[in-house]
Amino acid sequence: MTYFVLQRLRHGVLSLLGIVTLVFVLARLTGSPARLYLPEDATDEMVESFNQQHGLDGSIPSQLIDYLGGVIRLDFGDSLLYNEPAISTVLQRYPATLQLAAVTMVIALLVSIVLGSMSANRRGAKSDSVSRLGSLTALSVPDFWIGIMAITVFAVYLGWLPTSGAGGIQYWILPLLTLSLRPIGILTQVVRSSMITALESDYIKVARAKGVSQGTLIYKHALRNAAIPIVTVAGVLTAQVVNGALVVETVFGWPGIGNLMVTSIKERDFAVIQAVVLVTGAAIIILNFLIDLAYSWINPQIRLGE
Amino acid sequence: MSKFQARVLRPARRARLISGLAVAVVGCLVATGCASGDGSPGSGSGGSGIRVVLSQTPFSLDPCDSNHSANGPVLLGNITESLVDMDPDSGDLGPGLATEWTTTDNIVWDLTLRPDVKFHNGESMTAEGVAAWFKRILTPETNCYLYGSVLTDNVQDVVAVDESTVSFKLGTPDPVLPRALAFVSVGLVPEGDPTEKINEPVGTGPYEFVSYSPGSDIKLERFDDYWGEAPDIESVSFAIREESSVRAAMAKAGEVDVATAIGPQDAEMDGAVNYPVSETLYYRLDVNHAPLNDKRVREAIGYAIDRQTLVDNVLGGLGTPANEIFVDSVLGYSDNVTWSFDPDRAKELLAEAKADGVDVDAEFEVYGQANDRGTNGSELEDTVSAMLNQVGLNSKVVIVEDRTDRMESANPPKPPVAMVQNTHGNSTRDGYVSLNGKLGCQAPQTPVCDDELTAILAKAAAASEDERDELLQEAAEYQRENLVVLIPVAHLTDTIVITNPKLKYTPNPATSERLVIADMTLD
Repeated sequence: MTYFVLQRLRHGVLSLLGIVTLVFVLARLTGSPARLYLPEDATDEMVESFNQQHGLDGSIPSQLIDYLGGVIRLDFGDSLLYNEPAISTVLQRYPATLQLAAVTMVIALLVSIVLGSMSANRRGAKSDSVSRLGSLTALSVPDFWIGIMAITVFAVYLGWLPTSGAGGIQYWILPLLTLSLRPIGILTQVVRSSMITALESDYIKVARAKGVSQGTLIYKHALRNAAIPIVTVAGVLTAQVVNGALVVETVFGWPGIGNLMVTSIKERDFAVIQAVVLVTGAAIIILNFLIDLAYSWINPQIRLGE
Repeated sequence: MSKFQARVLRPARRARLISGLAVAVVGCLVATGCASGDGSPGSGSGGSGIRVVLSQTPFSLDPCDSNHSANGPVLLGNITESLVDMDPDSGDLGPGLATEWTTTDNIVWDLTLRPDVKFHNGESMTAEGVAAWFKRILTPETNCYLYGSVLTDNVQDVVAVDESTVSFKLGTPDPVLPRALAFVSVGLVPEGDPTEKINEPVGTGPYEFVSYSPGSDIKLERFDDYWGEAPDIESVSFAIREESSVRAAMAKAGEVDVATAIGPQDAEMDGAVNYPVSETLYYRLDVNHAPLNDKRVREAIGYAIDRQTLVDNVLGGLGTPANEIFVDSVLGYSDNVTWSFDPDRAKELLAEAKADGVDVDAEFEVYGQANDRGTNGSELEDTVSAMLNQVGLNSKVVIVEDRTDRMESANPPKPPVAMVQNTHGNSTRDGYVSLNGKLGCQAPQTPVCDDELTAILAKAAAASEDERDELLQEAAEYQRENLVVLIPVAHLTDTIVITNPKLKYTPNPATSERLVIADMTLD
């Protein structure tokens, strides 16, 4: 276990270093943000002074060394847009995204397990076709369209829910609905196909012959064996939503990291872009670690750290 | 060898654990979500409060950055005020935080401050405080947006002459300094490092800053010790949504009282008011770029654009065809400068140029900004390029995101492009700002440095009133006749939606950059 954790930690730190370096360099290749924050007629001296103040005046490698040195001291630079340490901006916004992502994934898992299992159990029946078509539609429709349509229908015409913003439970429904559709679509298909394989295996036939009820058969015996691909895909999808639901958060004005990421990229707020990438990168590495633990928990035959 | 083996739980226990966890997670997350409330549907924030939705996240609430369009709607006229006040409709100057201003030589300007003005923190406005504030703006290390755009290093010193008089000392004569001062917010120099940016603005305006955390509303409250007439509305909450359709939906659902910067697709909804802004869509031509290095080709471009069709189809009928890059209420607007849609004349000019050996078939780029006002994605550039190609030119469209454009085209565009789309706003009502800012030899974007134009502009800079007007008109006519660098397309409009039937407000040409809540009344 210790070996496994250490190995993962080493991989994690290396990946983070790679990602941050890449983002750092790519962001700077777009030029200095001085011209965005200074007036159009700013003189070269003003641009120079701006660059100097914000550590944008050296060569990219020397800026990178300075930045990484800062990161070791937990100094992630200051946000140009919010005028505060970038890491505080990011950590302040992260809980909103994590909450949204967690609830989304719980809903997506529950719905897709029920739908997918039902579909697999009644393969070829009308309900199977409906669920397959439904899930295909759910994963294919772009979320900005769903978001804007949901606002138009539920907030504008019916007046049941607020259009956007954050607050009480009514503010959660539209973002959750929009955000969970795609994971539901994908997971339902995964659950369906892996359940079909599981339901065809010999031990299920034996159990069925022994008179085990259909519900127990599906949710207790088959689901457990079908769980590995579901966990894998759910992990990838969780990483996507934890990474910030860029479009959904922008449309709904959700004060999360996706919204922050879009704004900071648009306004070339380099320190915040880097801090977002670092924090979400770290979260995804931890998530993958947890998924690996989950594998061996679901199937004790899978051993870690070999 | 395995270093780790998971403990095996019995399936039934595990299932219970999973469902228990799921319930706990959902419960706890929804509960925390419910707890962190921010804003509520329905209008306003209680009492006679209103809620307004804006389109841009302010990048700074420092009063010295207040003239940027992202920061202005919150700050200008609400939290902060300027020494001189400008009527947004007529452009006339009137007393603001200063009651009068005098000069003998246009080099030293003395302004008398209004007595008994208090800042939101209780401090009184003093001549020394005002002088220190202007010095802070003029310190390059503060990186104030006002420095370079409104005030330049031509202001060499600002001193307090006595308790109520501030004196501005200039390098070269400037007869229109008070006009510039109408755009400079007065704030308080922060304690400690004066160049440090201000996050919680303190001003003298009718509203004081209450709170703002990124991602949530910006809240202001009426300032009880305001020197002027107390505004009608007690408090205002600014929400920010970058999507125009979401702002329109918020208005339709009655979540906000006022929605700003609504796109043309929603310009006919209930409560929508379309109003002209002092912004003009135009193209800048690079005189060094073949085939645009021939004046006849540049003129042909001007004649090839069917401005009315563009206004009707790309701008949704909102806006008016433009003959100059500023509107006719600006000092220096000349009725002699005109552009018409004349494809035959364009073809003639191209034929003449071709006969003289100009390669009019050479391909050139029309460079546009995807999310600039009025462009509707690439629609504007696609249409303009098609119009140019119709008369025999060979143009192709390049679309970039507006921030990239700003970063690349601020200095001479890299790589140089032939034809660049831009919008120009002239809120100062002084044509010198436009002409010198776009074509003066020091202007970062100019493709020319013309001796004769420089001479006319230099004379205009030192002149005032009628003489200034005449000289600026002469400069505008000279650019149209001899340079043909700026090709105006359309004067733009903006749309504001007022959903609260009790709220009365008439937008003016400055509304998009200065949304003065004190101008609104509630029945």
